[in-house]
Amino acid sequence: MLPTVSFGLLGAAALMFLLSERSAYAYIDPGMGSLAYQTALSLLLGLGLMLRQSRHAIARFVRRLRGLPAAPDDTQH
Amino acid sequence: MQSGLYAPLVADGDLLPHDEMEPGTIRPERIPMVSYPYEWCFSQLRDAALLTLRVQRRAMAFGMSLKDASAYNVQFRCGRPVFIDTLSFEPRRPGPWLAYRQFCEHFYAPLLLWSLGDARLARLGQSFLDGVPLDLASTLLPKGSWLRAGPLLHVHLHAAAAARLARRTGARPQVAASGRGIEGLLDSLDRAVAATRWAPDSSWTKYYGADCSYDGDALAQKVEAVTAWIQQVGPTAVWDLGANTGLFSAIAARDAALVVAFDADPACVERMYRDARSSRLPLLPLVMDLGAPSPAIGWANEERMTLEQRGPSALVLALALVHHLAIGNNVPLPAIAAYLARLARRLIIEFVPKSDSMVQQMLAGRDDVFPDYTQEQFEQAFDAHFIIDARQTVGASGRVLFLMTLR
Repeated sequence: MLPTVSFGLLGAAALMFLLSERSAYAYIDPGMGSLAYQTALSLLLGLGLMLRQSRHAIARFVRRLRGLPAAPDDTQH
Repeated sequence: MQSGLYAPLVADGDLLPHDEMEPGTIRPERIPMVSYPYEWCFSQLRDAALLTLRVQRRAMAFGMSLKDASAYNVQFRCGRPVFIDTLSFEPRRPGPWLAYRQFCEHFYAPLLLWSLGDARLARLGQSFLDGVPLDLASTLLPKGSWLRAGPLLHVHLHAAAAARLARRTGARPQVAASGRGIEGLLDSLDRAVAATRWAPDSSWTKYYGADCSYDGDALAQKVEAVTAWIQQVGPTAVWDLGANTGLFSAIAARDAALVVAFDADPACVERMYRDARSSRLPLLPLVMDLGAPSPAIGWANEERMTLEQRGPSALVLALALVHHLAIGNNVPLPAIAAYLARLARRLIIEFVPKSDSMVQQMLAGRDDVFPDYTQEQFEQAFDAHFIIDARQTVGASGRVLFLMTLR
């Protein structure tokens, strides 16, 4: 849980820095900016999801490296 | 249908079934009562949002995608949301999910305004039929929402990006969002929507509780009389106007195929929906202020129907309602009778006299300018449209129940 939350918030902070508010024009296509934003956001969230889904595999790998026995729930994944 | 998506969605009750009349022509199963997102309570909108995400995730597994994520693509059937727009599915193309902004504007932003802002902001949905603009939602949400991942990513930064990046980009982004990226986006939206909460509480949710103006015997008598009349009428569909927390709607739902329970208080409707969802009663609760019922809106005022256009109902219950319209909203009794005659074929209605404590509360601090608010005038007004089949006084309360038939 922790890696995902902190990863998301860090990414959000970076996006916030890039997207600081400016005055709007009267006539813009509201969908285009959203699509560009989504493209960047989905990269971030896709990576977060991948890390979350593979955290058990990473934990197993780290335990093996350290020569520790497998955690009880590792066998379930 | 060739994608293989139709069958599992229908089997799970997530998609409205249809018959294929001829190639390219389908006839969907009929929804007995159409409702609109601006008539839903918080949990109905939340369940509809989760359904839309579930359908999109399922569609992606079959190489398909939703090209829009309008809240109007969802209706309620048998107490749960169902996706109705079969034509929203298209083969998935590489790139972003085109419906992302619409999902945020139709579902997530309204849910956040409701849960973190003020429940009365739900009324914005009736003005913004294509969803609450994200820049407006971002302005209306409390500052603390910037510290939460869901609102920050999907509303605040999204709104800022839509305004800023639109000026830089002349064409659709060429960088294709991967399937994994869209899965991450859906997963994030799913968790953000699931994290929204709203605790319903208002004085009206206690109407039949400790603050009730009935004593126990009077309420029991009322329940007994209404139950007997509902069984006598044997309606297939019932509309309960001013349903409060649905005491009588639930009774009607034992016999009717569908009960639509209306109340102006979103907290009452929320209670009813949660109860109906757990008890699996054929009950559809909707937020409706009968002082200003849903109008005909949308293009040429023809896209969304009025309440009246969705009727008439075989039986209408109007219990402890007339005094709110007559005294609370200053609607003359003949006008109330004329409107109910357009909604109902049979009517179970309660007259609450001025001596009742609830009416006394309404009159407190104002001049009594309602000399015509008497049982005699009430019966005269309704006699113009209905035949009075039966009447019964409710204990010592002075309230009177009537069973009527449209002339």
